Amino acid sequence: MVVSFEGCTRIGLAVAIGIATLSNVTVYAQEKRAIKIGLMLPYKGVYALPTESIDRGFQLALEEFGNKANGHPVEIVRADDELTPNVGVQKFNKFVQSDKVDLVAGVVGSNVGIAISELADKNKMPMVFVNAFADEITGKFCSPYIARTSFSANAFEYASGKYWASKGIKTAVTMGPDYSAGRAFIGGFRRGFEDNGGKVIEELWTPFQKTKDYSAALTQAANSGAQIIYAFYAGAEAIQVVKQHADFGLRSKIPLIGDHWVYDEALWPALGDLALNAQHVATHYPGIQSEANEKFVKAYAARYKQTPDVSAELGYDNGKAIMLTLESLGGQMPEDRTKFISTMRDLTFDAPRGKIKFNAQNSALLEKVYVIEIVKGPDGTLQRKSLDEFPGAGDLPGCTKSF
Amino acid sequence: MQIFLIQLLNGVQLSMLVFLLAVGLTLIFGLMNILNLAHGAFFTMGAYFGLVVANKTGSFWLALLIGPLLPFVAGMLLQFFVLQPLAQRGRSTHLDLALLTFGLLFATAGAVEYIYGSAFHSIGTPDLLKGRVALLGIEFPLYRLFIIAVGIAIAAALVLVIDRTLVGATLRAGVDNREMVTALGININVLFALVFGFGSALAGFAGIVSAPIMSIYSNMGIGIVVTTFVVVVVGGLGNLKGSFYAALIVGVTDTLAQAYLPEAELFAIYAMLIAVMIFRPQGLFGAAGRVA
Repeated sequence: MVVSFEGCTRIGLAVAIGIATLSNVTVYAQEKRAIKIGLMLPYKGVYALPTESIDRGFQLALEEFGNKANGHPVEIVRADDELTPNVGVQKFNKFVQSDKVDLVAGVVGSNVGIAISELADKNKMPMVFVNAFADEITGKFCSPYIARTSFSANAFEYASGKYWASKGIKTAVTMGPDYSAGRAFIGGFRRGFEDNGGKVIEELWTPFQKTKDYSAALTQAANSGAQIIYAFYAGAEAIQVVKQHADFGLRSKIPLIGDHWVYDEALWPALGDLALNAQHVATHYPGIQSEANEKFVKAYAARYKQTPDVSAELGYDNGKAIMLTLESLGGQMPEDRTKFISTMRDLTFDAPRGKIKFNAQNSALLEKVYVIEIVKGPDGTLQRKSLDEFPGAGDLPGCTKSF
Repeated sequence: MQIFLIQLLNGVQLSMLVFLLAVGLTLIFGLMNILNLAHGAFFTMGAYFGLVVANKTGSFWLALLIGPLLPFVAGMLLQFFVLQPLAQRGRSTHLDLALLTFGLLFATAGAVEYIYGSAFHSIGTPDLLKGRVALLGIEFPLYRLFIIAVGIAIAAALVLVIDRTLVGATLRAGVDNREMVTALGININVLFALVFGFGSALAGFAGIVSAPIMSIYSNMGIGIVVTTFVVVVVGGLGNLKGSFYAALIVGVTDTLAQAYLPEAELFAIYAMLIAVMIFRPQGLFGAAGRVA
């Protein structure tokens, strides 16, 4: 009997295909399809420090789940939005078209956030914001494809204004950088403060990332007769304001009260003793006594050899909300991606900062705001001490869609 | 009225800082016709080197003394080995040099971020100048008065050197007639490198002087370049005394706008710049034919 050469190849081919198919099946069984998360953050420039913390917190949350959701591996693809809307748009398109991610996380700047929210809606791509605090993100620009795991500017600052008004502060001067986030934060404070009997005597605005010398604004504030200066600044600007405020001897005359960005831990080395005894409001500090927080602080310290700051916690919340959502969806991105966001909206979980719940516009609510004083610990290092706490406020209305 | 006077004082203090930056730039421009956008890089370099010295020795004064040496050397090398050869090859139009130095400005910021990270630093106010003086019903920080004094002292010293010494005479001659100076046997390349280094050192000096009230970080030099250029143009390119007066005008305008008309602060200076460019393109103090 002669077996033709042709026959041989045919059999060989069939066997080869068979094996290939078989092995494919086994590979599929072991290694489920990976979920790709596009993580967009301003890795370089003025927000480089908080960004590093966010990225670390985010990774820590994923590692807590072994980087797997129901057996599906979860991968991170990173991109730098440079805090610039058009760069963010470009990177978002790259995520969608060439990286083919399943969802996008991150984004610090509200300016980038606003630019991206419309794109996410158009591309039907779930976007889970880590910061982007501007009220419009889940207000005017709300979408069934958009969620935010932190909080809105109003939730934080309205509650803060209300708190200080209730503490016998009757008059305040506000200072802030003249751009969207500055306006949103200071505006929130003013509403909360004035709705509860306080009066903002003067609003002082300084050009964003431009003014190097705040003496003019500080002199105006010192002579306004107000009881406190309430400020929103971050990074280099925060250091300059706090230092120059002290230079003019205003610490006893008209204290500078702000939030956790004005007195950010990352600025303590530059501020030195000026941070000592400063009071500020914060959404998280390492000493919160709860199981979720103690576990988080311990894991973070073990992994990165430092205590987590506010940004690390926000990054952790972002990663954790995504992982919990993926788990409850069986580790797969549903065909209708609005289902991903609506599943997240229904989540409730214990975050280090407190319980996280979402409102109808997919914006996480702020369960607690902490009033902190920076004190010297027994070992001589600066530490945070909680003086008081109060609940966060609701979000501003503005979302006209229903989902 | 008292507050207004204090604001004026604040303005003068800001002016002196701006002057320290502008004077180096205007000398370089007046003498070598180089549009040096990398000036902010030397500001950053001086501040960081000062920071290193201050951290090592704990002394602000040593930082102030040694810090400017790095930008001095870097500026000299840049002029001698990069800008000078370019000029000889005819590649030194304003656009060429603007692009080159603009790149250098960002490269320096990137390099600093790579080496030191993006953390913020600061040099403490020296003990001697920590206090405050009661002035017009407000406590004015002593250190800010020190800045004003330093600015005036440097301005006076420069005027003396340029008007009254041989080096100054050579410089002025170099500006007016380069070929003649060379023909008289003066090595103009070395002179240029020295002046470039000196201008850069002044920028670095400004970086250290401003450190106790501001902060040191990788991008600190980028924003400051624009204000400095406004001063140089308003004062007349290459005009030393002009840049002193222009610094006063710009600093005081900026401060008063911030105090009384915050909405106008961003464009107050630029509106002035545009007016100057239209009506006196040689600068407010740019008396023709008398530069540096």
